[in-house]
Amino acid sequence: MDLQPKNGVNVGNSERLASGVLGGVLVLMATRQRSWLAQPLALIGVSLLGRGFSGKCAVYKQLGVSSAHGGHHLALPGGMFNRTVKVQKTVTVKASPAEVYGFWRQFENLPRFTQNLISVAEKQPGMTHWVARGPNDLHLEWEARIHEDTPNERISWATTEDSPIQHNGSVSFREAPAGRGTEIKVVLRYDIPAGVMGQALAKVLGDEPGQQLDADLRRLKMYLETGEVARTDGQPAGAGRDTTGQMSTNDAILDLSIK
Amino acid sequence: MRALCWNGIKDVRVETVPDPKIINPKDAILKITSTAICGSDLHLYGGYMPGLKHGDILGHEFMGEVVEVGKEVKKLKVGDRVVVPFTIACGNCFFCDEQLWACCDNSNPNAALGAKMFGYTTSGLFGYTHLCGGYAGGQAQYVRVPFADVGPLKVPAHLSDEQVLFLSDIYPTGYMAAENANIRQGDTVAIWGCGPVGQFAIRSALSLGAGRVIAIDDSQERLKMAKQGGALTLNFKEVNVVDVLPEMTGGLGPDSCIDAVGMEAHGYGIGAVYDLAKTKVGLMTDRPNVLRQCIYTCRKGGTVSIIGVYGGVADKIPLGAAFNKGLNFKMGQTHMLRYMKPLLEKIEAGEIDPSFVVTHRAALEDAPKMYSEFAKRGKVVKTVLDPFGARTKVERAREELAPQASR
Ligand SMILES: NC(=O)c1ccc[n+]([C@@H]2O[C@H](COP(=O)([O-])OP(=O)(O)OC[C@H]3O[C@@H](n4cnc5c(N)ncnc54)[C@H](O)[C@@H]3O)[C@@H](O)[C@H]2O)c1
Ligand SMILES: [Zn+2]
Ligand SMILES: [Zn+2]
Repeated sequence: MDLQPKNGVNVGNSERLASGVLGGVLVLMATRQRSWLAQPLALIGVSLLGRGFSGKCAVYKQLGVSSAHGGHHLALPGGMFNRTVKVQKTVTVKASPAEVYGFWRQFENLPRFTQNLISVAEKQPGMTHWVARGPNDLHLEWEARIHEDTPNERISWATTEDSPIQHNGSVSFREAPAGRGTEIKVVLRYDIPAGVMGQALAKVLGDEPGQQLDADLRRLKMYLETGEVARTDGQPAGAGRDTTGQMSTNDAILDLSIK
Repeated sequence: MRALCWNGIKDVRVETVPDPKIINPKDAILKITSTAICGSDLHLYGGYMPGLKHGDILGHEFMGEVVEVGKEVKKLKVGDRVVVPFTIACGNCFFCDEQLWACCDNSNPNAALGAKMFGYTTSGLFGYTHLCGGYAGGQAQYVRVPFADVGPLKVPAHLSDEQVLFLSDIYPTGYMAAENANIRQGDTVAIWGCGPVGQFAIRSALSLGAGRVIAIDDSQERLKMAKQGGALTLNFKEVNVVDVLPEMTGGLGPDSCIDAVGMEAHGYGIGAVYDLAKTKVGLMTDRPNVLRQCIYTCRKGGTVSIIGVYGGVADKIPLGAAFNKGLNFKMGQTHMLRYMKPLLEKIEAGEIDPSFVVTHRAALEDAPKMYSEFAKRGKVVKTVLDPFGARTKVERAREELAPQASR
């Protein structure tokens, strides 16, 4: 899991060059800025410069990622993406489309059932600010605009162009047959950039991003149907738990279950 | 508190662990007064069921007194004396509405894992692997009970613990096995396995109108208890069940066959050797030779009711026999809340006293020894543990002799 090289050099050669150049540009820009942007720009610029010289990046270290081991991997600035992840899941919840829509439309509710979101806030109508948990407690943040909002039917959103993460999503609500409530279908798309931002995002999304959405929707269902999310963390266990957190297996079951 | 923890195959230990606390608003904490060891625990003990972690607290048959409730608990009060079903149900999903309590959609925090194994998740279970939620079990002094207004059943003070404790699992389970067998007045029902579940299935089948029950096992003690419950008995070590059953039923076969053995069936003959070989090399998890016999001997158009637990995959199931004879199948973990109240009424009315099944009583401290005795599937039929009882002199002496073995 830990991608940190031993010598502390975690920034590849070509990226070191790019870092240095970009850092210089930012510092230069900052000196010309009068706005509130100046200070952060300068800070980032200085750290990039330093990184260019040393090949060591504190931010990368925090993120648990590295661009050094390929040697020639360049962290591309936004706009160039090396893969798109699309996931889609459906869950049926015993509640009316109006209730479920109403819950989701308050984007503030999303962290109640998602594993990685810390907060979502609709800062101004139609504009949302998302904060997600990155690796090693780092926060990833982005802005997304609501594109479609059809009450009780569908909501869709997409990140703004300058967002460091390019992502869009939609949720649709359909009355389930036989009075069983509402079928909620969620489709999410992430453009995973090359380089470290991509590595960090990939870490947040996990090995199988579909699984995470699946787990999130199960928790949404629990929350809406029972008012709480089933949990077993924080329960007592014997001393043996410290020696191994592994689950026992009976390999035959896993190998032979119908895929 | 003290609790029985799993530490590997055939390695369970009573340890001091932190007390459970309220985690969710609908939780309650119970101080346990009586707890039992189940045949299902033996599948964990023997390493047949996957999904345990070292340190897991086992136990799913328990009762006690409510000592704390979460802020969303409305019906249950501190001081209530309750028996708790082993399946955890939310009480408000499609499956709970359908009375399919063991299929509850909202009680398994590891639902995705369960779904990977079975296609869709099962409900959470106490003390029964992380696939079933990883809930700490009740072979302990205290336990956390989620959805406390849904599962726990208040029991009247005049009934003893041993009379109502088995409402937590095996009495409803034996009853469901019989109900699932589609018994009509006068029918012949064959039941494989005279463990605690088989014992309750025998008595329930008769109460549902069976003309006769043929009970099968190889343990003298268990067969004797079956006979006391009103069954005819067959020792599968002495006779070939597949030959004898048709003989006993006028060549027709039993109307219903109940598998109260499950994945660890012992057996003789070629099928059993084949099963053992395949489970040993890890190509199969379940040894279905009892299920095979159920299918093979059941009369045409009859019903096979599976109540013994299966966890994975099994080989050489005679599907052709099942299909061509037009058999019916019913199976599953018990939908506890369907049965607890009606069966409590039977106990109150004096129709049955479930404490007949208790053969041993011990302190929780002595549970490891009781596991190893119970695993022999002989004279220890049901053990009731006292979570606060003092350990016996014999066990203390054993511990002094071999301190590392029992700590
Ligand atoms: N479906 C449920 O919800 C549920 C609930 C509780 C228990 N169970 C399961 O029911 C089964 C029985 O539970 P128990 O507590 O009575 O367990 P147990 O292990 O005490 O009883 C099993 C009995 O089957 C006998 N047996 C083994 N091989 C046999 C064979 N070939 N033919 C006939 N009998 C044979 C054993 O001698 C033993 O007496 C277990 O699989 C348990 O996991 C299921
Ligand atoms: Zn049980
Ligand atoms: Zn439910």
